[in-house]
Amino acid sequence: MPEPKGFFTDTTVCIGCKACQVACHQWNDLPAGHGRSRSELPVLSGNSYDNTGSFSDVNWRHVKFIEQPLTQGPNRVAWLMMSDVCKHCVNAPCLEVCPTGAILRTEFDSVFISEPACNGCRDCVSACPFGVIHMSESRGVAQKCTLCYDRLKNEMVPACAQACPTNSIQFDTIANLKRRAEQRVSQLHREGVRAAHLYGADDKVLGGLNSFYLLVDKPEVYGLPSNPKVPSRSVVQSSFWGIMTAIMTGLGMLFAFRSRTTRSPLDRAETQKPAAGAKERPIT
Amino acid sequence: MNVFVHDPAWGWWIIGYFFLGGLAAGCYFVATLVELFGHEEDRPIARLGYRLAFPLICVCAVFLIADLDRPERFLHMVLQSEVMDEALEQGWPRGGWGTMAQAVMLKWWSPMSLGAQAVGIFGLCSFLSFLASAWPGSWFGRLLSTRILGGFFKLLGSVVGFFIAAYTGALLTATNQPLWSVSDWISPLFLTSAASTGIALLLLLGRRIPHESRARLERADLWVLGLELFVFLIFLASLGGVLPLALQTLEGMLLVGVTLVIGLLVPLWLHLSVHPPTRAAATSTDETTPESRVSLAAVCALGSGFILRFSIVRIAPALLHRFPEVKPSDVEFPLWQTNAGKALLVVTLLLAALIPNLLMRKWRLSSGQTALAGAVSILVLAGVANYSASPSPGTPVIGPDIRVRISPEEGRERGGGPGASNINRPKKFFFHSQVEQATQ
Repeated sequence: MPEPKGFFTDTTVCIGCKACQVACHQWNDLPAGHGRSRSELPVLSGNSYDNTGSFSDVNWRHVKFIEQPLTQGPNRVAWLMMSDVCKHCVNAPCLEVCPTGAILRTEFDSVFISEPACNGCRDCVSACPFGVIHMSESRGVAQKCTLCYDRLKNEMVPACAQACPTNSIQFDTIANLKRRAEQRVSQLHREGVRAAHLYGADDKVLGGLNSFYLLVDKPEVYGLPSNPKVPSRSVVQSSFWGIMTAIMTGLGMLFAFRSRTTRSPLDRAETQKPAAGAKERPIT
Repeated sequence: MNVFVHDPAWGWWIIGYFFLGGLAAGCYFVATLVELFGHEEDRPIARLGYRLAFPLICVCAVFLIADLDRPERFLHMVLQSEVMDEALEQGWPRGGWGTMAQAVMLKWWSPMSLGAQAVGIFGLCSFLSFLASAWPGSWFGRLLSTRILGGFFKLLGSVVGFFIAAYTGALLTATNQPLWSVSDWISPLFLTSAASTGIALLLLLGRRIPHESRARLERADLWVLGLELFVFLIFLASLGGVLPLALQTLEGMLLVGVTLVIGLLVPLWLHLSVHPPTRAAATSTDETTPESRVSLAAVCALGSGFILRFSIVRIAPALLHRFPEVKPSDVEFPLWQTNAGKALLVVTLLLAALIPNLLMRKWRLSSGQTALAGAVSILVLAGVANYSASPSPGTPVIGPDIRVRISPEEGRERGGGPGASNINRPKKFFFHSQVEQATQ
């Protein structure tokens, strides 16, 4: 069994070149646009260098350009850049809820969608706390990063990590990546970047993220939830209140139907006859 | 509130399924409970319930399949096709039963997976009841009306009915979407709504049900409407700081306005506002509300039951669209500090005092039943206050916290094997290899 593998993304050295996005498209044979026809081109956002805007069925990587206003210095705006991807969570919400068993765990500890099994119910889309999974319009199945499963099987590095010119995206075993990430954080701390911290390297976020990040601001600033939940966590509590309500409903039915309605003997004599007759008639 | 998620785009098929599935389940469990608790003359209610439940669940199955992006693969939720193929190779049904048993696709911690299996079981139960109600004199009809076997079947049927009514709510909670994932009370809310819409449909279509039976069904309706109202108030309180945001969307306004006023208060008022008849006027309408009022109440309940499903399903995408930059700290405050929270507390206080009182007068409750209704009101008031005082949405200040780990996926550690996928098609692994394509 191979060791768990994944990405460590050091956002401080990302230059927003989108080579990772291009490499991902090229390797996985993903079209530029979302439409049914491969010639359809994406619409430019027009307000940012970020032209894809978010993940999609054909954008399994997404380079974020987060604009931050500056109060000091000659520049008024600074960018935080981050190449985002499926986190291949250790406790994966999508994998947990998938009712067809199409989402599975590979020997590299990554999360993989087996397309022939997916029937397009979209439960994984609702479960993913990072908005990673999207449905392919043309094929009707869920789509996301595979951690280049076919390349890993052939002992190659995923396309995005290979293409990254600044080593912002690093691919290795999780143990090696963690060691490198911690060294980088302490280096940044020494250099005065006190806010530098790791997101998803430990087991606090969904048991750990096999694609973890070095951030220099709160996770929310990067569009990452600080405390996502595993969906099944709420099932017992929901069911408990559901069962209590079912018992109360049953009790209501018991009260209503056990006792005879209180009415005067005169009325009862009047209504009993048609009531007995009504039983014989079809009621539909 | 996590606004970084993507909308699963559950639309009209799912809304229709949630509504009709609730209706089917409501009709069915009311029918089974009437047979379990009721008198002989109440049987027409049960018959009508059975005759409605089966066709409705058939429509639901069509809706569910139509919603899939790959409808032809709907069976993948029920059986693992490649294991089934293996069983067929082993000569199933003459052999290979062991393999076929392993082909069942069930993740019991995933509401959608459990629900897919339960819809099948519910379909079977309602089909059998449908047959027995269509031919009550046949051997099969007589078998299902026996005391032990029939009684057990009805008990099982009511449990499955309750499950179908409630699991759709748990399914929404078991996500990471805004609002859905906050409250544990969507499941009880859908259950009570299933009961009230089911009874409304029975009252609307069952005009030839004997008079006394109708009176009892109206009593049950009153109880269920009261319960739904209370559950709805707790649901609103459990949303905490998300409620003021929700009220700024059209779906949120529909949810609160239509459900509370048209779905609950109007039907309750229509049922309860009839003056106790004088002795001289005590004719056949002694206990029952006049027919036109009942019909209007039923139509209100049915219409708002649909709006409830619509607004809850569509409110998550509405919140994502309207508030793309909400931070967790923006919703973390006690609800009672807002105007919406104060209004909710006042409305709850008034209703908790009024409803047991009105029920007691209308129903002429015994002292024990009055005490129970009063206790429920106090609990509801306490529940609403408990959630309103908490700064964390969905978590009461005091109360049982049973958000426990139930899935093997959550139990696994890094590199710790397949987790939830240990039943996930382990035998064959399909993937398209670009490497192999390039080297060929």
